[in-house]
Amino acid sequence: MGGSKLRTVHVVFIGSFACVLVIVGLYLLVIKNSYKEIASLNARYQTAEQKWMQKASVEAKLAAAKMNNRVVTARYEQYLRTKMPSISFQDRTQGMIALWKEQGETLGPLLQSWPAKTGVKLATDVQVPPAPANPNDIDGTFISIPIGAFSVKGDFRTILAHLQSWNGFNRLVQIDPAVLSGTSPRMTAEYTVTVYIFPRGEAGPAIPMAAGTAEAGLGAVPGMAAPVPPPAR
Amino acid sequence: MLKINLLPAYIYEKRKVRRAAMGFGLLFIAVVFGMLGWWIMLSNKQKQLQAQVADMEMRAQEVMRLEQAVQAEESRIPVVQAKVGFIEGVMDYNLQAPRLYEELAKYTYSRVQYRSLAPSGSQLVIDARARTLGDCGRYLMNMYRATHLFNSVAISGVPGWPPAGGGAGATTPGAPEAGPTTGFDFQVTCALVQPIAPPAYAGVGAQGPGAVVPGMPAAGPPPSGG
Repeated sequence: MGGSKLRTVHVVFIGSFACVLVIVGLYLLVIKNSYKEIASLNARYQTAEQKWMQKASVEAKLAAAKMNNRVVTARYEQYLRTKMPSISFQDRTQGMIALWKEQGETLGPLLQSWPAKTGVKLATDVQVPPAPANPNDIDGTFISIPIGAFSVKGDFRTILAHLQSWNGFNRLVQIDPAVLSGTSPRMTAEYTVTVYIFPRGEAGPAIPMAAGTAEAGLGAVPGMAAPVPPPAR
Repeated sequence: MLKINLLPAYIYEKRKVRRAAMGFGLLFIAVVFGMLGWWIMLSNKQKQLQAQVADMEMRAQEVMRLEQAVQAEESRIPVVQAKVGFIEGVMDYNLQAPRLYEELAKYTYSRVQYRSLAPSGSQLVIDARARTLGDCGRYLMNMYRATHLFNSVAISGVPGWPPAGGGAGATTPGAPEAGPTTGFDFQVTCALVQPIAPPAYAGVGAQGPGAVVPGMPAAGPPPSGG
């Protein structure tokens, strides 16, 4: 028997083993990873595809949001035009001075003349409180001005019409439920009035100032200081 | 001529082994190339898929940008909406009392005279004067029917006998009705179905509907008479 003891069966066994080893080894080391990567890519693709399929609905949502925004903004702009003075606190000092003018010059006469325009007689003095004297103390988003009590005289129907007419006033006025007394046509209605202002735009940065100057120097800015006498009754 | 191979088997074993080794060598190479081919095929598929994923993810990012635009747009709405809501709330609040008075007038008996109407959040207090108990009773029955306005209606100040202060004008059930110049004052307290509450904006005008008095019970029998 020549030197080698290798038999066919050995070669078959070794050859088969080597083939299986290569198949298993390459599968585990290369192919399996590739499949894993492909599965991961497939998952990413499906996720992205699902998102992409939402495009139409998202576009519709965007259009609806824009439309809603336009409608709400248009309504707000309309109220700004019809019910708010043009005051902005982007420059706080300028805004404060505009508010002084509003509370010290404009608002009082407007409020005082309104009852007579609606057919009732005003029986009280209108007093508008002075505006704040420190620009940094003013809320640049919402201003509330408590005017106080109004007393008007008239008949029942005229008084009701007068109460309803405040919604047509060119400032945003809140009137608390009126207490009615007396007998029509000499009826009296008493209610409290508050004026609200939404300044335009965003409030600007605080004004740097020396400590105490605003309080000391401008504290006496008048509102409608001297009460205007009520119209002749 | 008959040939008989008398050589032992191992003589041919070497050749068989060589052939088997060659066969398995070829098989091995085929397996390796097969596996490489499989891997190359998968790599190509992977590259193709990567391109598709990159393309689809770019599209998805476009959708995400749209979603962000929606959020930005929607986040702007509540700020303005709150202001508009407040303005409209104030205007509606201004009309609530006049509406209440107009509706109340429909349920008011013409022979009862109001001295004052004082609304306060969840109730309305009415000071009134009637000539007779019958008039007062009819008025009260009218008020009980205004269930869309009031949850409950309570009356006080109905006189007994003799009347407080000894006035001659008060009447009692069964007594003859007083003349037109006489009468008595009474007070009616009504719990409103819809309390009148001011709107709120950013902490201003803090309120909330007042306590609502539960449903109008069968209020006490109206005073007899008339």
